[in-house]
Amino acid sequence: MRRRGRPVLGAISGLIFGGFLTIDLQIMNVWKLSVASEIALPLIGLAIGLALGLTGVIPRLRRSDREARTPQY
Amino acid sequence: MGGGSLLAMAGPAAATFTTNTTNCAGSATIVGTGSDAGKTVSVNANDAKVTMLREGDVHWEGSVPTAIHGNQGDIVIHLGLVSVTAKTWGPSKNASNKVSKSGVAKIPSALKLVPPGTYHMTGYNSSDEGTCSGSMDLRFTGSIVSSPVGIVAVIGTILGAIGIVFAGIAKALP
Repeated sequence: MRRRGRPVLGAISGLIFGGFLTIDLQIMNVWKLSVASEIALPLIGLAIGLALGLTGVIPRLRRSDREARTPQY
Repeated sequence: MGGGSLLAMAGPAAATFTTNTTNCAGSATIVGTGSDAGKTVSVNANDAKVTMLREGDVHWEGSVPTAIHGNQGDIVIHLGLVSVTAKTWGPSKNASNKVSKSGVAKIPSALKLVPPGTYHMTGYNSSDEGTCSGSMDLRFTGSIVSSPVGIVAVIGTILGAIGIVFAGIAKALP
């Protein structure tokens, strides 16, 4: 069985994450808004989201895992 | 000289000059009102950065050694991909050959909504005799959640991060 996540969701989420993070960093005075900063982080976010979505590296929590983690009394 | 062009002197003059072939000079004192009452900020021609107030009156003055004519220019605040023109003026002839002017301008009420952070501002005044242009950084203080834009940005960042993590969770494919 090959593992795969959700690349489209990852790409869109990464773009949104990068875009808003750019504004957060601007507000926190980490950097000034510029064309470069506005493009860089959304693209990095898109790439990370796409990569995570294509590879699906985060393991799915299986039922047996959940049961194993539930304390048995 | 038109009021706009002299306001321009106060603008670019209160900055790091990039071009100043007309030897323009200027300064401004911002006296806070409303939520910024009691605060005063002084800006002069050598400043590259100013911590701005959000409410107040700007007492500006600008001058040139000899009268310049046919003045026109603008002041633009750069917000990344978006640039906002704060003021344009001219062309004005300055038939009376004035070399200085001063005045009081109110800080635009829209600045109350600007999120904290540092913004780049540029301005110039061109005339028949030469050009005076400069830039400076405007810094607005406050916490990240002190403006609606900041709150939306924080929520958007969190939602985006959740989306990335969710997208990275493996699906079982045949």
